[in-house]
Amino acid sequence: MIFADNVWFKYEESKDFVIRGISLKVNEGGVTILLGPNGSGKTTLLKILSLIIEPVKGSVTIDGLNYWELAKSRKAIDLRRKVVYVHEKPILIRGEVWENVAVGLRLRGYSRDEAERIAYETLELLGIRELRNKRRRELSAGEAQMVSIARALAIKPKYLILDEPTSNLDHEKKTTLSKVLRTLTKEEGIGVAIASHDYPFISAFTGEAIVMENGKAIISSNIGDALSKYSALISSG
Amino acid sequence: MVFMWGEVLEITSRSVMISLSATLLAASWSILASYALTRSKTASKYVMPVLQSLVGIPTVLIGLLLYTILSRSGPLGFLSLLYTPNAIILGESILITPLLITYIYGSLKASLDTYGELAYVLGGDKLGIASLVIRESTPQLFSSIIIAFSRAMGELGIALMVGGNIKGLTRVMTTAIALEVSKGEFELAIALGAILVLITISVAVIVNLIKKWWER
Amino acid sequence: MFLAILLLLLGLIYPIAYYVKSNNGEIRIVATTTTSLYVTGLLDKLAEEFKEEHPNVIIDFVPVGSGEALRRAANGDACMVFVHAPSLERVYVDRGVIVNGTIFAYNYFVIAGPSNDPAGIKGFSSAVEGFKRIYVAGERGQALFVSRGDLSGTHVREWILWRKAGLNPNGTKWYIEAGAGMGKTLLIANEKNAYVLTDISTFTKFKLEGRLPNLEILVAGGDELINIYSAYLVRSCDGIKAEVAKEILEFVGTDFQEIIKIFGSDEFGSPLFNPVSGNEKYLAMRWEELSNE
Repeated sequence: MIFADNVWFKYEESKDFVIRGISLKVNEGGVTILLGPNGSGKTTLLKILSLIIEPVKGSVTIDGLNYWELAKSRKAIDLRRKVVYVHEKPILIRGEVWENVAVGLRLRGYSRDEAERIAYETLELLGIRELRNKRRRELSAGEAQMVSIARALAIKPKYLILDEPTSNLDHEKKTTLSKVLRTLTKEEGIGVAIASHDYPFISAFTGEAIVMENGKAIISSNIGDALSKYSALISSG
Repeated sequence: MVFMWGEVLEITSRSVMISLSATLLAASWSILASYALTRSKTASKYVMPVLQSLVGIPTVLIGLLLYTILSRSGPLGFLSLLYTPNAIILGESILITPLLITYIYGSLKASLDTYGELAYVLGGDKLGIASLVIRESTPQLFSSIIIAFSRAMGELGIALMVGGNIKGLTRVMTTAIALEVSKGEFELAIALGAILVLITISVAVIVNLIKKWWER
Repeated sequence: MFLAILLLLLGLIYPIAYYVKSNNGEIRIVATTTTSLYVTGLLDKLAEEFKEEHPNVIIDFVPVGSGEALRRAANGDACMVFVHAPSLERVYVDRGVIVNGTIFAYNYFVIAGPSNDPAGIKGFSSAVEGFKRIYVAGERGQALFVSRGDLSGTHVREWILWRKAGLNPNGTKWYIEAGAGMGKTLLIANEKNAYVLTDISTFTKFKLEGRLPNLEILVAGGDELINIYSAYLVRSCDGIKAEVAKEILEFVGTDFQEIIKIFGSDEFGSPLFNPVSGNEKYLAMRWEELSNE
């Protein structure tokens, strides 16, 4: 479980906190959704959960261990490797698609052949095997997004953090992704956190959700309930 | 005195080999230095401004300082580097280092934000992150190499002071041009200058092509 | 990281290749000299001729200014020096930095100036008188003078002449310090229709090329304008190199004299230098006098 306990965050140069006292869990095999308008701090919160950003107040623990206290030790890296964050805008490296998918594997010391094999498998899983030898210039925005998700899945993380994963996906890809995520949570026990505006996509999941506004969690409930409360809020205000 | 084309060829290839070597050498340590600087807030706050101002340092000053060091009466005189192309290579690589670091530092900083974060989230350790960031900054590296090479090719002060403009040994394009100017052979000097510029442009074009190929 | 190492290795190919190739039994003698002497081509000819007799000896001429040539020798960065500035040479001879001085050639400086000659010095036999006239004309706003201003042999001679005339043109409005080589200085003088002290070879060359339409030779010849070229062994040079350098000095003073006699006649119509034979005593005496000025 990833547990963010009453976390606060502000940038060094600024006086204002962008995350104000939020507590959030991502359970193994569970799904946690972040809702809210742009600028409410969803990406920042996801980055805190992914151990990219250190909270100014409060703590983040993964399976009971506090990453930021472990600092530079070997245990810290192992802990970090349990979580993967996927950017809203895909960052692809130079090379073929399979090489992109293999980045995380190569960083962990897998051989080129092993990494290639696993990359192919992951692409297959997401239904985009045919892209494997294409280069980043040749991909559409949706294809690039699927590739970056495949890259995260290839290293078989324990926790998957997705930032607006469906913003460029067509219907077919969204369906595939939805199925894959639900399978992974049920069968592999992977914990997933998603920030999204895509309500139809979200409503297919069961789990927890919070609605954020100005760095605070104004609604905190299960997904279905949070969605209806949030839409009521939007239509009334 | 007749200027022979064989001699022009010799001087040209010497210039290219010297400046190319200096550029490659300076690039190798500049990449590492630049990366180290991106990781250290205090170093970059104080070091970068100093380096930026050193980009334009007069070549004759570097040449003079290096001469006093390499002179037989100087601390490194025993190396017998004076009046050799290697002395010029040394001087030019020092000359272009601030330029390279300034440029590469800028591109690494940008790459660090994207590829650095990517490598981090995918579980890279320090070395892994550094490798990915540097690898993905290769296009900018190529660009910086073009600029540095051009600067090295066009410098005069270092080649003059530590090279000695010795015919057949350390005469390079810039010192040859200076010599022709002092002889009053302005037209010849301009012709040599045109060749120098042409060569530098050619190298720039080639490296750009390589860069395009890499980025594909 | 491999990238950095790769670059390092690629960058080392040429320097290492050079290093390996350079240790191959040749004897290289570094000789500093003045640019004006070097660009006449006489020294390259010397290196060529000496190589005929001694194929494994390469003379590396480093053309800089007189001051720099002697300074480098003093630092031990040359085995020989070829210069023509007796007063500067004297300092280094007295310090024991350079030895075995061998006068190997001479020619004359000339005073060149605008054809209309506002100072009225044309045909004078005394350079000092000429300078006095130029000073007067300069103060009256009728003439300009351009100086090398670079401590070269020419510049040093110019200053000896001013001193002999008892005058100091420094800071006056008509005295221009070019801080440049002879060629550039002449072009500036031509531009400004000014008087200038120059060595005969550079002037002749530029004049023949049509670059100095406004200037002509006004005062030539005479003791005060003599330009004496000497070659030295640098004392800190030792071992085999010193032996070879001594042979070069010997060669310059004997066999090479024949070549000096006719050098430049094809290009300029008359030789650029005079050999020393027959005038050794006179030249040695003049050198002494000049070196003390």
